[in-house]
Amino acid sequence: MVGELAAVRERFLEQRPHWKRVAELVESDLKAIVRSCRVRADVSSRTKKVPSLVKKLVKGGSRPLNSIRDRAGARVTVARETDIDTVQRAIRDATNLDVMKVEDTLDRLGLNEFDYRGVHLDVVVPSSRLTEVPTSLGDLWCEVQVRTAAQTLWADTAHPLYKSFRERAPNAALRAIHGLAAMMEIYDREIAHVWDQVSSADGFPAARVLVGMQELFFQLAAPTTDVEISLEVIDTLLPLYDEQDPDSVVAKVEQFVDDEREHIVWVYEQYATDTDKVLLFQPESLMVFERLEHDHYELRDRWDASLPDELLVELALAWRKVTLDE
Amino acid sequence: MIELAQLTVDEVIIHQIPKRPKKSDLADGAPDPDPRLSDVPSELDDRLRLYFAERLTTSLRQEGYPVIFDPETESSVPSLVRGFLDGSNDDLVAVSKAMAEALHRSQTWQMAPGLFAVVVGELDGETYIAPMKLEHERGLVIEPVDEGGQMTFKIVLTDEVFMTDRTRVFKAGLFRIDTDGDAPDEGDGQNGDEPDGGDVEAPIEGMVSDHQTGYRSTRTVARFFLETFLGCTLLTQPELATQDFFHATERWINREITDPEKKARYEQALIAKMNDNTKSVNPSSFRSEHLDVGDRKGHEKALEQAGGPESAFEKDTKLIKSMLRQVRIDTEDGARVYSPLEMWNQGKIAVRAADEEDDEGESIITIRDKVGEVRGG
Repeated sequence: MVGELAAVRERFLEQRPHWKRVAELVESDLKAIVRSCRVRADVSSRTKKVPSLVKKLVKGGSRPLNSIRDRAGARVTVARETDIDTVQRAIRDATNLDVMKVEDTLDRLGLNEFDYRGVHLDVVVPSSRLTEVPTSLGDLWCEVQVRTAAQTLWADTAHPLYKSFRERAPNAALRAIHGLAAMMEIYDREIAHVWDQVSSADGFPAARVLVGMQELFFQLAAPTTDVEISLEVIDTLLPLYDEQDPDSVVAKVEQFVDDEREHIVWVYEQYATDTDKVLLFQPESLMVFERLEHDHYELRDRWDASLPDELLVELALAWRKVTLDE
Repeated sequence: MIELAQLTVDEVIIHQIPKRPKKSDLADGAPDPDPRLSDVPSELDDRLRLYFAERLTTSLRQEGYPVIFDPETESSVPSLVRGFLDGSNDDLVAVSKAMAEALHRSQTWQMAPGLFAVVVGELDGETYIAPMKLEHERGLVIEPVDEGGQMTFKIVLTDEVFMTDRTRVFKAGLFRIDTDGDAPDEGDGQNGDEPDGGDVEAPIEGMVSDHQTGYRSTRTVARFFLETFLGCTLLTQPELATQDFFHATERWINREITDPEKKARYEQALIAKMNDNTKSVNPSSFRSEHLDVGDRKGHEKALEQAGGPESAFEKDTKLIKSMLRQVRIDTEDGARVYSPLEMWNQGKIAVRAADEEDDEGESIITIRDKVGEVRGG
């Protein structure tokens, strides 16, 4: 057994750089999928660590190496629980990944059970997409997890405790762990509820516009989001629009994004590593670009009354199509 | 006009251009130091690339003039630019050194020393080359220091600043092969000459910006970079650009501005701008300085629709001189008021809307002056 494990370990060490390529390719695919869904999500990937693989083999008896399907892994962490379904459907519809299995862990929980939550998809990357990867690796499996941040928190902190101690820990401790899982479900539900209430509240149009801008922005670039700044900028910009209701403002900016998509994507690609321009990766930057094109004189006049001029100048410099007077 | 929105920077190489002595000092044996030339391009990270791209784009957009190479020029820069762009001489280091030497040789003691940079990159998928002259700016560098256990700020006055976010001593040219086919051939440019026979060279389109063309600059200094060094000539003759701007603006004032007071104010500002001592007109600056915020976009669109100049242009009022001596107001019932500009400046004449209850849209023109002759006509 020891000799076999050593051999497997060596084989996996050789394979590991290839599995890293698989994981990174899936991560790239997932980022594009998330953008198309217009949701806020973080995407990451990992390659299984050697000790973790060895432990899995030890626990599972003499399993062949190629039977382990999470040597490459990727995770999509969404901001809202309702986005999980949107994302997992989009992954299933993707044509460049073969989705072999989908499991929503909620399906195995009874009504009174609270435990690990998330959607797992076992995907295979067609070998034609990674021709440099040797065929000895077998099918290029990757495990994709789609979860909320709260679900991930429980999975990373409480779930390992449960797995380690469930045979011998006191019932009170195990009950507490499951209680935390229930709290995470309530947390996710309340976060979504807060956003719904805020974005539909009378007298708070900036929040409704922010939700719209976020949906537009997420398809274009990975955002930084300081909601407080966003609301202040949107409040400044809203009087510049002839449209009275927030949905019409969002529709106008959406039309602008459709018309200027190529240039907008170019700008965000050019400035992908920029940390100087404070507002560039905030969702409301789309409104600023739209107003720069529409009437930069009125924009600057309005802007200067309440916000630092240099923030607008920075965005104009990034946009490149309009030059503000010095 | 070259569209600059997606300009990217690949490489920058910098050479130092010293000050030339006066001829009389040279004759007395004063040293004439050579330029200090780089052997390799400077190292750039993403942040620097973006900074150069932003500064170049901003400078050319604000003060850029479309230019072509002058077929009569003695400057070596046009052939260096062409060789680089068509690939026959695309060694950036060698080309930039040759340009730096040419700049240095052609300067006189009047021209400030500085840095000569050549920026190359891509614009809409095509390579461009951008020679730039950067002159010293003075600035303060302030840093916290500990002096004997007490905190203070050390202040250092430095001449080693060459480009800031508000650089005004900045000359830049940008050239690329014209793939759209809208640049005029250099052989039959403004004079209508037929191009010489032989191989047809790809036309090159260019822009030059020069922030030093203010009212203090002599024509020699102002035109040195454009004509003597780069070997270029303006694509649009200043007198035509000035005329186009004047007429398009006046048309817009009369068709789109309904408030009589504003009409008069804008016309006064236009004529004053044409008459002032500045050597160039920047349409965007004119709007910012003289038009109400709500009217600026309308003027910009009107100028664009009329085919008027969109960026800064050299001012030459020779074609519109007769229209700049006074302001004329025609009324619907046939009154015609001629008034010198000075009367407007002195507040001796004004236009305002008549009382609000009056539905006729009439205005009141007030003239405060001693009445001279009154006669029939």
